[in-house]
Amino acid sequence: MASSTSIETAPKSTDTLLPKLDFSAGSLDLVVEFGGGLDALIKQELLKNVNGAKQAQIKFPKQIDQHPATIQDLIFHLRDFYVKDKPELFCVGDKVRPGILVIINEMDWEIVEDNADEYAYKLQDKDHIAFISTLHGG
Amino acid sequence: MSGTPSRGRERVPGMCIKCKVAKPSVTIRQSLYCKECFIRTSIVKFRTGQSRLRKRASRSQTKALVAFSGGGASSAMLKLVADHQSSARKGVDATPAYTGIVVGHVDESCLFPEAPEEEIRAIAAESGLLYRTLALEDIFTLADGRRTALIEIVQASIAPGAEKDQFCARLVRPSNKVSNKEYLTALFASLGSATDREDMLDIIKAFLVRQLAREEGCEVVLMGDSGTRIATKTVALTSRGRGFSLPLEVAAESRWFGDLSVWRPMRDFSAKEIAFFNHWTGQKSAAVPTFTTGGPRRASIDRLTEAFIAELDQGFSSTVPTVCRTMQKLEPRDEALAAPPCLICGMPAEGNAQAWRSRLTISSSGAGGVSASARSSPSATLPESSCLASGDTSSLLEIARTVCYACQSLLHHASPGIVLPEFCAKRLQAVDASDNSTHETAEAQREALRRQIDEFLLDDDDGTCDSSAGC
Repeated sequence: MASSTSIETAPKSTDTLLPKLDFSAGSLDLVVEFGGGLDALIKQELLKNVNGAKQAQIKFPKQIDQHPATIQDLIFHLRDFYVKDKPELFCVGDKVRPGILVIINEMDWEIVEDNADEYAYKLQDKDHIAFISTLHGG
Repeated sequence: MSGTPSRGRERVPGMCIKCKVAKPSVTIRQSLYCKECFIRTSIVKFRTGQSRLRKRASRSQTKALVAFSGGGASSAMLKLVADHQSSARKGVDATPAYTGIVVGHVDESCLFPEAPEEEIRAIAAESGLLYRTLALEDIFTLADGRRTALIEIVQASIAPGAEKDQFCARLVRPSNKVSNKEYLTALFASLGSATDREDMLDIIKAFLVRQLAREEGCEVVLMGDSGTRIATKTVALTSRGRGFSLPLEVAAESRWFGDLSVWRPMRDFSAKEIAFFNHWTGQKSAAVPTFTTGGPRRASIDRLTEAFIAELDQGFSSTVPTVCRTMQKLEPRDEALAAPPCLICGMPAEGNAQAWRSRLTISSSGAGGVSASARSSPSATLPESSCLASGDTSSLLEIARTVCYACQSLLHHASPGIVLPEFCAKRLQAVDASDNSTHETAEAQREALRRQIDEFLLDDDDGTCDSSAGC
């Protein structure tokens, strides 16, 4: 699956786990939360415990490949760099695994976008995005 | 139920279906709800379900045990039950739902050292209710803390030349050198597949939850099976060969266990509703590990069915409610209600399960070439338990008739010498007492069996097998 974002994987970074991102068009500060056992899939050193919720603070580029960054871009980023070793437990193909709910700013992502394509949602600064697994074997 | 007349059924496009003025935050089966209406609707739905169940109960006032794993569904159930109860106390509601509520939890850290038991305890503590636990390994110490008889399955195979499977067992005295934890891990190591291990774990947990309820004097056990879980169970239990007892395992209420009613009040909620309810009400829950956590989707029947239902439900959001509505119509057959409980799982054991098996399944690819004695080498994990009756073959009990189809399959794939917990021996006795078959040889055999058990259980007073080796 070479469908990842236009991220240069430059080795030089303060955090060696993450790639160097291109912030020339500006950046977005995002809070990404993992619930329902999903946090176990994520590299623990990237997570913070905020009142019991497992969160990652992510600085994400405003633009990716000349288009505004979407949640699809974020999902690829999470899958490729935040998930420890089993990306198939987070994504099936390009999509979030069935049984994992996505909540954008306290809203079910299925109704965030009017045009019904939740993956096209354009990320905004200060977005709070929660991924919650409803699966037992998650 | 679905056609409740309400003012303003018509929807305001793009607005919450209930209040019609707030922007919606969640979609549940194509209906839009705002956060406040969603939470309120969930609470009302739960309470309606509760009063429906209570109306049908024999006694209006009951004490309930909340079966609490720590996972999302049981955490939501705990919050809903506890809030309901305390709002009744404050006089908002006329009568409290129950005379008392106990939170019952089975500690699984013996099999899963990573199980977040502290976190689970903390979540339960927030409810302010009495929290009681039993550990999985306690399944080997039930009679007042003493260890009694265990059953060793000596042989579970097709005997050479025989048409039917044979399941032979003998009663053994637990060895003091072996702790309950060692018995438990050996039991799970003896099972043939992850599916069988999950099956056995379900059986033991269900038994311990009922045990907790009895110890606490509860008449009702509340199980947190969500609608999504009911749909998964329907498919999974059918594929495991548990169709005979399926109606009892998914019913909104079941009285199979006589003194205890088992209720499933969360079946009206999908996993999505539960996740949103917990997220929005700040209800914490823990991630409870299973044998297949983090494994591939084909790791076990449970995992595969769960993935199957989740995928279907994503494309067709009415999948789960449709399966649940259909399951609600399912009634256990009279034959099932009259059947003896299975020695292992305690659910009805269909009389001719053995014949079914031999007709439908390939039991041995070696076509009888493997002799019974060759197969029955004891599992090397445990030191030899002292056999109750002197070790000759006449002490073997033919147990096939009292083991249900699914548990026969489970035994069939287990290694010989598997040692089952105490409750199995107890059930043998119960079956024996209630059975009034006229078949002569079977009668004689059961009579012999009864004598053996009686002798053994009385023998237990001598204190040679106390619980000192346990826990």
